[in-house]
Amino acid sequence: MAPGQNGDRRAAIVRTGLLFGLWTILAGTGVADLLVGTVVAALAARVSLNLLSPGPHRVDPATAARLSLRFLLQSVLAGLDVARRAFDPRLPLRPGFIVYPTAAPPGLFRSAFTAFTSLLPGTVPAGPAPARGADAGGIVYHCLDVDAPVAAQLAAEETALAGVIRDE
Amino acid sequence: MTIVPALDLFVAGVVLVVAVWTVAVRNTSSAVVGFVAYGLLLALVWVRLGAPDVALTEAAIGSGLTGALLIGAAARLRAGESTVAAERPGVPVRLLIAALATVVAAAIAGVLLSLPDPAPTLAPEATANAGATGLGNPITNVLMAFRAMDTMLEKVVLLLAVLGIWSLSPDAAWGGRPHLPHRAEPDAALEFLARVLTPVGVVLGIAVLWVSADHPGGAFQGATILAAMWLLVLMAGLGEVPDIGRRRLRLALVVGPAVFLTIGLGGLVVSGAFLSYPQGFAKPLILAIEFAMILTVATTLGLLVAGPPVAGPPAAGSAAAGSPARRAAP
Amino acid sequence: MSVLLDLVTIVMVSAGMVFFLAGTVGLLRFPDTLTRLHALTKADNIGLGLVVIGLVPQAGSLRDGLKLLCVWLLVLLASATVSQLVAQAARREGDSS
Repeated sequence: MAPGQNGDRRAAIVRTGLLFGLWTILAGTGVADLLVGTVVAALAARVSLNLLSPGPHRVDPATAARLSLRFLLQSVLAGLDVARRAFDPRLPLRPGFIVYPTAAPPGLFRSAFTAFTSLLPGTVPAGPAPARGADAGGIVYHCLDVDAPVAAQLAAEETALAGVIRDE
Repeated sequence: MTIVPALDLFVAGVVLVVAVWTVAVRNTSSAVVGFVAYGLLLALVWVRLGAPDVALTEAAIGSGLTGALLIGAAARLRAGESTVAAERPGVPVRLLIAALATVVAAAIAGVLLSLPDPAPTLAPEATANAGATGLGNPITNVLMAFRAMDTMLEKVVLLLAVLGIWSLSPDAAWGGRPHLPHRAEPDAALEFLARVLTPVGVVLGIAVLWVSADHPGGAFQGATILAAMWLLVLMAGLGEVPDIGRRRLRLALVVGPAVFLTIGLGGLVVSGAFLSYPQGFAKPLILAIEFAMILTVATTLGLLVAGPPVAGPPAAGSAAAGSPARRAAP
Repeated sequence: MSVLLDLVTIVMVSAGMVFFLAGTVGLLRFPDTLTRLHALTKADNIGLGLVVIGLVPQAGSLRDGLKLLCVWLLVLLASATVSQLVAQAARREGDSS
């Protein structure tokens, strides 16, 4: 596992650092804790590099922080949206499926996008669209309200996420 | 404060309701879901009883791992479920079952009611000798020092369980690999989780072992987390179960009990008693045993879920290189 | 100061409870698996987040507070995955029936 390129080495260092941080949260910061922690973090980083190769993707920390804030806000909105519908005596739901056409090929970005959008108001990703037909390549979303501008909202999220995880 | 006892009573009541529902429900899958929920609620009860170590074990083993085993069993039995459900035993058989169940329940109730009050306990002795090992968690003291023999035999029993499952393999498949049922097309969402969560789970599992010296935790609970990560990687289609004939796998299966036994026999030489730790070295020796144990237990639990080998071993020379999956159980 | 922190805890945990209640009401009232999935994931995620934020001031140390946040993040990750898996399964079932 000799990281040949700079990107690989960078990924190894960043991941080891993050996992080591997690270790100190869980195990503490005594001398013995830190010594064992370096070994465990290196081991877990190796697992991580095996499962998720550094590849062409690069995560940009500054934009990621901004996206986290946006995500928090959206989570609150999602919760409020569901709460409003659940408590409303008329139960205002117009559930249904829509297909969101995306150019993203299967891979890390697409998976991160579906995971991210599963926490947004009114949408739950329900798998890829059928491989044949006009919708091929798209993602099926189940919506609480099919009349809402779901596709436009998803497109905005895709743009936002593309600023964080981008192909280099 | 009367709200806390009221909440405790409420949780206890819910545990009973879920238990009855789990037994009464006709559908096997629903019963499994009920069982998992029951285990999690029981873990909550253990926390309320001030036994976080037991709660961790209940959540990890009782609910999580057993749940995974039961889901596998339910999926296997689904084909024949309607046939079995349609069969109704005759009246004499049902009467006999009712009588047996009543006798067992009455016996348990009788034993419970005749327990001496206060119950006999070794807790004061365990607390009084806590300083002997240098560990701060009395549970770990009991498991790894005062009753180390029980703990060691427990791990050997697990190993026997794996052998029992392997013995179900057809002759042609012996030495081959178990097949964990996962969907033919890789699922993107599950794959994403496996790629992102597994390293975190590795840190978490080992941390649960590491902190057990002084806080709730332990090798067994940590090993369950590691096994869960391994199974996640396997189910996401990112790795294959290794051939059961592989030497590294066999080594991982025996290293825990082997280290335990070696240190135990060393105690016989150095301190004059089997499984006794020399003064001042108890803590590092116990940690060495636990680190060896976590590897063995994680591998064992993963193999328990994976089941018997179904495909024959690869022809010599074509053995696959170490898959990323193996690393989930470091 | 501690009164103020207690107040933050009470407000945040209570708000979190409202979201949990909303999620449960939705689970009972919404018509099918997929809509119930919305109710559970969205409402419970933010409900748990608020409970965690409310409990952080009560944590004995920075480490304990960070541990609580880790719990929330792990639940979010699990929830994001499981909701997709359940939605796919429900969609397949809907297709076949």
